[in-house]
Amino acid sequence: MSLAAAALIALSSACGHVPPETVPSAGDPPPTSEAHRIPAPDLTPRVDGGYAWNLPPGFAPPLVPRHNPMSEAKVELGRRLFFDPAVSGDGSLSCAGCHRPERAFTDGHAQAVGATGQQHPRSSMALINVAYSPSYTWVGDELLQLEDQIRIPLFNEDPIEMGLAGREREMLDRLKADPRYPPLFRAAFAERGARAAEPDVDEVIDALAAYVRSLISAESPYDRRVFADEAGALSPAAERGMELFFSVELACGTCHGGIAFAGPLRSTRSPDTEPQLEHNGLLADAAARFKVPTLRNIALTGPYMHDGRLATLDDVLDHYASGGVPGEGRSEQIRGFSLDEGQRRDLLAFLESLTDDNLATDPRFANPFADGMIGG
Amino acid sequence: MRQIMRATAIAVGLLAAAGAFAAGNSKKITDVEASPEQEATRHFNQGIQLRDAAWKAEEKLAAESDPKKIEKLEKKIRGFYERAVEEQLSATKLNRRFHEAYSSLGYAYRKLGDYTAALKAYDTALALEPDYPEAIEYRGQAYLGLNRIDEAKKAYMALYGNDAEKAGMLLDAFRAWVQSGPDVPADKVKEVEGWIADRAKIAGMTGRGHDGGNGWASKGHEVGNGLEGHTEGNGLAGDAAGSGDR
Ligand code: HEC
Ligand code: HEC
Repeated sequence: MSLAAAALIALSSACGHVPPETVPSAGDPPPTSEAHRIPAPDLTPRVDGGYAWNLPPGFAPPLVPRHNPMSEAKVELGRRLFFDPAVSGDGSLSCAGCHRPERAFTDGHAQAVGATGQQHPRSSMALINVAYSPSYTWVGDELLQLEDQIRIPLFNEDPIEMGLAGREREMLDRLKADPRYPPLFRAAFAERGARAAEPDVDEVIDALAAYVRSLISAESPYDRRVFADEAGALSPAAERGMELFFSVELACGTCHGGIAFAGPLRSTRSPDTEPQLEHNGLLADAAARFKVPTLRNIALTGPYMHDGRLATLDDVLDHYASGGVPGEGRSEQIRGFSLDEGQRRDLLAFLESLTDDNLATDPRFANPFADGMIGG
Repeated sequence: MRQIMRATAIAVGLLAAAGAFAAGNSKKITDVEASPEQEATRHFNQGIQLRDAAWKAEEKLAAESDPKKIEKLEKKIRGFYERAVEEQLSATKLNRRFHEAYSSLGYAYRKLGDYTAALKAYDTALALEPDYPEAIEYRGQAYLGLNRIDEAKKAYMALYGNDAEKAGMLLDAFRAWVQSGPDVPADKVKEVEGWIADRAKIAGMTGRGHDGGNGWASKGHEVGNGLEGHTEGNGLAGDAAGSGDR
C-alpha cells in the first residue's frame, strides 16, 4: 500500500465519511505551476475611518455605535479628557482619579470616593476590554452603551462623582481656555467644520467613550501560553491552577469565561449578545445579581467584589470554597469545594498569570499629562 | 530526487483528501447587475458550482469499481477543477480585493496538485483579509502536506481564537498527518504528537461551559458550539446553502 493511500485511510477513519480522492493519481508527473497566472491583489488601504484596533489574536473588532465612529484623533482627545481633572465640576477629579492604569483602571479603594468626598456604594471597575461588554456597571442590565454609562460619573448627584451637573458651562470654558484642546476637538470632530472649535458635552462624552473602547489588551503570561503557543509562559503551578480554574468542580470558567474572563461578550461577531447578571452567593438577597467582572489583571484590582468587601484573592477563594450564602438566588455553579494548600497556591498562581504587565507602561493608554504640563 | 517525488505524492494524497472534507465554506452570492464586481461575483459562483459538481462526482467515484468508469470519472473531476480555476481566475482579475475568490482558487489548484499556485493564492487571500478563517485553514493543510509544520502550527494558532470549528478541523488534519507516517525525523513526529495533545487539552478545557454566550470564546472543536462565523463587513454574510463542511 502506498503511503498516500495510508494517509487517505487514516483520514477516513479519523473523520468519518470522506469522498475518495483521485485527482491527481500518485503516478502523475509533478505539475508545472500556474502560480504566475494569479492576478496581483489590490492592497491599497480601504477607507473606513482609518482606526487600527491592533487587536490581540482571537479578538473580533468591537461593536461601535454608528454615531461615534473610532478615529485616532478622537481616541487621543479622549485620552486627554480622561486624565484631565478639568472635566469635573470643580476641576478636582478626573476619570483617572478612580480608574488608574497601573491598577488596571481601578482605584484600590473598597468603595470609590467622589470629587466632594462622598462615598460611592460600589467599587470602581476595571476598564480593560470593556468595549466587549453588553452592559455596564455592577448592577442592572440597562446601560448598554459606553456613551450612556459615562454620563453617570459625570452627572451623578447621589453620590456625587465628578459633580458636573449644572456646571457644564464652566467645564467647557476651562477646556476652551486651554490652548491644547481646540485643535484636538477640531481634529476629532472634523465633520462639524467651524463649529468643532466650540466643544459641547456630547463631544466630550463621545471622545471619552472612544478612548475607553480603545483600552483593549491581552498580553499576560496566560495569553502567551494559550494564544501565542509559548510552552513555558506559565509556571508549572499556574499551569496546574489553570486546570483547577476550568475544572467541573470549581466551575470558575462557566461564569468568568471566554477571552475576557467575564460574562457574555458582544462584538461584531456576536452583536446581539444579551446582558447577563449572576448570583455568586455573596449576599443572601436572591436579587443580588451582579455583572460577572473580568478576571484579567485581577491581582491588580483588589479589594474585591462590587462593594470591595473581600480584601485579597485568598479571601475570594475562601468565599467560593465555602459556597457562600445558600439561598434561592445563588447560581447552581456555586457549590463549594475544598482545596489543599498546594492547590490553593496553584489557583492563585493562575489568577496572577492573568496580569498584563504592560498596562502601566503602554503609551497608548498612559496619562498624557505625566510630564506635568497640566495639574492634578 | 526520488525522496522528493515520494514526499510530493504523500502531500498530494493527504492534502487532496483532507481538502475533500475540510473544504469550502465559500458562500454563494446572488446578484444580477453587471459591474465588474458583480461579474466577478458571477464567476465566483460558477466556480463554486463547479467545485460542488466535482464533489458530487467524487462521491460517485467512491462507489465505482469498474476501471473504465473510474478513469472516466477521474477525468471529469479534473475537468471540473480546471474549469473552477478559470472561473476564479476571472473573478480575481475583475475584483482584485475578492479574498473569497482567491481562496477558492487556491482550493481548486490544490485539488489539481499545483501546491505552488495553491499557496500563492492562499497567501493573496490572506494579504487581503488576514483573518479569513477559510484561507487560514486551507493554507494550514497545505503546509502540513508539505511537512512545513511550524507554519501549520501558526495557522492553527491564528484560527484558535477566531474560529474554533476550523481550528478543530486543522487539529484533526494534524492527527491524520501523524498517522500517515510522514517523511520527517521520528523525533519531530513525537514532538508534534505532544503538541497536538497539549492543544487538545487547552481547547477542551477553555471550551467547557459558557455555552455559546460570548460568541467567540476559545472553544474546542469537540464542544460543538454556536460560534458565529466570520461574516461581518464583507457583504457576503448569510446564505451558506449547499456549501457545508466537507
Ligand atoms: C468617583 C470615582 C469614579 C469616577 C471619577 C469615575 N468612575 Fe467610572 N466607575 C466608578 C464606579 C464606582 C463604577 C461602578 C459603578 C456601579 O456599579 O454603579 C464605575 C464604572 C465605570 C464603567 C463601567 C465598567 C463596566 O465594566 O461595566 C465605565 C466604562 C466607567 N466607570 C468609565 C468612567 C469614565 C469614562 C469616567 C470619567 C468620565 C469615570 N468612569 C469616572 C467610579 C468612578
Ligand atoms: C455563578 C457564576 C460565577 C462563578 C461560577 C464564579 N464566579 Fe467569580 N464572580 C461572579 C460574580 C457575579 C462576581 C461579582 C460579584 C460581586 O461583585 O458581588 C464575581 C466576582 C469574582 C471576583 C472579584 C472580581 C472583582 O473585580 O472584584 C473574583 C476574583 C472571582 N469572582 C473569582 C472566581 C473564581 C476563582 C471562581 C471559581 C472558584 C469563580 N469566581 C466562580 C460570578 C461567578
